Amino acid sequence: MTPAVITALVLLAALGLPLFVVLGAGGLYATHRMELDPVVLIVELNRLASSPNLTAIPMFTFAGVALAAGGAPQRLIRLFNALFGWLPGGLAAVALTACAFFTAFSGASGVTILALGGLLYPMLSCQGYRERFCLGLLTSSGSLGLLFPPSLAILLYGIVAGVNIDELFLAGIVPGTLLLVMLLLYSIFMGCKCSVPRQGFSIPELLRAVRAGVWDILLPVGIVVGIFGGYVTVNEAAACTAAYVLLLESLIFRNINLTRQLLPLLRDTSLLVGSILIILAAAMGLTNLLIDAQVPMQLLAWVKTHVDSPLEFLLLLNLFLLVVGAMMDIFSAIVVITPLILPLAAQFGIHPVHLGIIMLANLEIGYSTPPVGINLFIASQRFGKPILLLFRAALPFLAIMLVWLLIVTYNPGLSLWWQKG
Amino acid sequence: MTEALQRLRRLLVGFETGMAGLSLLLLVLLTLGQIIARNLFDTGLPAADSLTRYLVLYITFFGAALAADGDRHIKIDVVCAWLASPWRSRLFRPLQALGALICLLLFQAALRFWRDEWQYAADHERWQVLLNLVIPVGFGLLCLHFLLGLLLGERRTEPRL
Amino acid sequence: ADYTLKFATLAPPGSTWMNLLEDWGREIERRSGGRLELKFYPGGVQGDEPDVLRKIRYRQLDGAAFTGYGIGSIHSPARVLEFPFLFDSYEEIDHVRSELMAEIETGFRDNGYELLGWMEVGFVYFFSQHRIEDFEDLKKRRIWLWQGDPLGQAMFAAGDLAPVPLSITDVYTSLSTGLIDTVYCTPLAAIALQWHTRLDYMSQLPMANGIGALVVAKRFFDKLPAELQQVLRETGAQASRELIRATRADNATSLEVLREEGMEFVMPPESLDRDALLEMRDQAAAQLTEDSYIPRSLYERTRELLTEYRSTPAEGTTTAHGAHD
Ligand code: NA
Ligand code: NA
Repeated sequence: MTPAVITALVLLAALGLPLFVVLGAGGLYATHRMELDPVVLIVELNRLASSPNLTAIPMFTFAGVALAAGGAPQRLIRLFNALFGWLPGGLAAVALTACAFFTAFSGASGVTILALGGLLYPMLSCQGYRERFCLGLLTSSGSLGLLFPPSLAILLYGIVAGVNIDELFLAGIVPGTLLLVMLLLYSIFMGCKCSVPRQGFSIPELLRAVRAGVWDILLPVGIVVGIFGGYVTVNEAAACTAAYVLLLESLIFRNINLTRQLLPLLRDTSLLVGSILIILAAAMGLTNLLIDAQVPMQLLAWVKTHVDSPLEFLLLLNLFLLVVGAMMDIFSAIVVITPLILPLAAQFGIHPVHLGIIMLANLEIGYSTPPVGINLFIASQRFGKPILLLFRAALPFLAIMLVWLLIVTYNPGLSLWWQKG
Repeated sequence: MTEALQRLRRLLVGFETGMAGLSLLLLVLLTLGQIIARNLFDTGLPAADSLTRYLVLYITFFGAALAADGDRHIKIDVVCAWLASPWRSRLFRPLQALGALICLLLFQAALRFWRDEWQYAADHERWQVLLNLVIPVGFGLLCLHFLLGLLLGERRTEPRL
Repeated sequence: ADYTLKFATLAPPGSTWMNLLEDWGREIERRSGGRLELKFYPGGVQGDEPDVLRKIRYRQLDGAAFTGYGIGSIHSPARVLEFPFLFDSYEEIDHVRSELMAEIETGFRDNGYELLGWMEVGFVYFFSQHRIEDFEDLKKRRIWLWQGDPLGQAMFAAGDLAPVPLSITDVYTSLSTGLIDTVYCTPLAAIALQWHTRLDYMSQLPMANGIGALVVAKRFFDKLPAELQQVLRETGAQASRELIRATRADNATSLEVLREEGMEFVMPPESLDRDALLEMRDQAAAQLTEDSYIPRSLYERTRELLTEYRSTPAEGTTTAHGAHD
């Protein structure tokens, strides 16, 4: 009975049933099968109402929507062109670094694609990068900074595994930077291949571009100084960003007419945020039922009986985590899977810090793989493209990430370089 | 009949746009207010933190209702890419019906959840339970939009962002 | 197993508490001959304590290890045992508790829960990212308040502090996003939940000895055959003794661990205005008894029990935590 229902739901999803309805139906069916009250789905959803981690999302999204409406992408293209236009793949490099950076402090909750994607997409396409490359880059960069401090995913792993957080932050630096470098090289290569036009470096043009774009450029600087300087929280930074952008575009540039455009901007933002968070709400109910039925634990029990060597274990671990990452959201995956893998990994002599990096690296890839890849959903919504197209576009990036995953998994030294001896 | 339904639709969309927009504006203003209170007066606005988190829920549900109206919810419509457009149109009503059914069931569960919360809440928490009404209301609105979609059929949707 | 008891706790896997709870689970399975099995959901995977209470209400879970906050939602008068600035030593706490326990058990039962074992989480202190010397400094901080906790709320209101209410499951991340910079918890919890990695200063003023309880829903308990009920009761009492002993010992060693890891100890109790603290306590007590969160008669009886115990020239009050009136 259950396999038939799952097949039917997958089919309905493929035919275009909204994802949150699919997940909701799955939750309702699972509660029925497990003889639970469907109200438990709402109990999980209600937890969203107490979560402070989501507050920044609508405000950053609003800033992104308002910036896009106010012509910031054009001003920034001009500025970045003046700065990096002479470099092959220059803008792609800027995009990657900015995304990694932004994800590190926005917690890989999809804010990156919402806040930066809408800005970077038109910039990259204007510059002559292939559409597929742009979409792939922006889709897969939404989780790029996962290994850099103060990423929420690392924090969560530290709590659950009982590992020192500072050691985890140190451990994440080299693997995280390695991935960034690998993707940068690919972008430069593609920049040359697509023969993205380079422009000569000119000081007067740079000055003019700076004068036009200085207000926009101050924004990321302000966010970074504000948050890392400890002046404001992430939520407060989001609110300041939203207010700043609104004032900038309506009073200084006068590109946005508040009386006519404010309501549509608010509406577009809510629609965007609502269609994403409603999926999270539905997925929380279903994830809780998986935990309740101890499904992940049963999967692992199987692994325990079929594996003997560390190499075999690591390989299976990678496969297992990739599947988990494809089906579960990263935070519940960490909470549920870590305590189960930890003793197994200890048996095979794998350091808990290294294990953490392996887990996060796997789940980072899982962000952009169907069926549940939050990056795919958000990018699909943000860019108005079908999921499958985005997945195909992200494939070259995922391939690079897989190579990177193998390097990181089988070279513990990359994560444990800070250890003495 | 169709005219009346369209009027109802516009009424709902107007209400949802207003609520979502208001919640988003209030979210920004409250957070800014918190910054000022914290840094200038060494204090916090009481209940503002809890309120901001509820506002996210409001934006989510009213935004989701707006997305349902425009048929702009996130989908993994892999098959649709290969389907001819008349087939896609034929699928529209059955899918809307299914969406309405699921949202109705979730609406029922949410309503029971809310009633129990109200019953068990301590007096000082009542205002939060009132704010929690957004969960049943949200699922109710989603259900209504799917029903309207079922009755009115596929409309030309507005261009995406 | 004929019966599966689904049991949730905030204690993370591998922590002292969780290890002892798992021992308890094994003991139950052994003594029931495998007929009763415990299924654990540790580390808050089922959510914060109010969420767990809801899930017990909707029969997704059957039991849980609660701290004072959850206990307050079941039978709030029991929280008189963790009232701030009231008890001076473990001996006093043990004495008053033994006097009140029968009443508390009845209170749990009347509210649909069976109390299997009493627990402690230990003395609660302030931990901060910034140096705090006195209560004035606390006013400048963003202090976590366990969202929806009336006792905490009353104390903060009495101290004229503006806290940031959050679920306990959100505290760690909020310490790194800057939403909060100060928390209150026990030394053991600070380490078990990894909060100490985000905090640099610890106040030495012990505020209250946090309580805890192992409970099971009455509906679950009542459907068990009498001999399994007996097994639950006996093993629960045994686990409770073990948990209290281990918690007291581990809280003491945790202070050493914190010191070694560079935590700076500030705000020694002798530097503070004792009368002001007691006034704060009385103000909070007035508020809570007025709301009948804690009945006035019970609060006054507790104080009488204390006065009586202190006036008897008894076996000694050794583990002084700062004398209170
Ligand atoms: Na995925
Ligand atoms: Na995922």
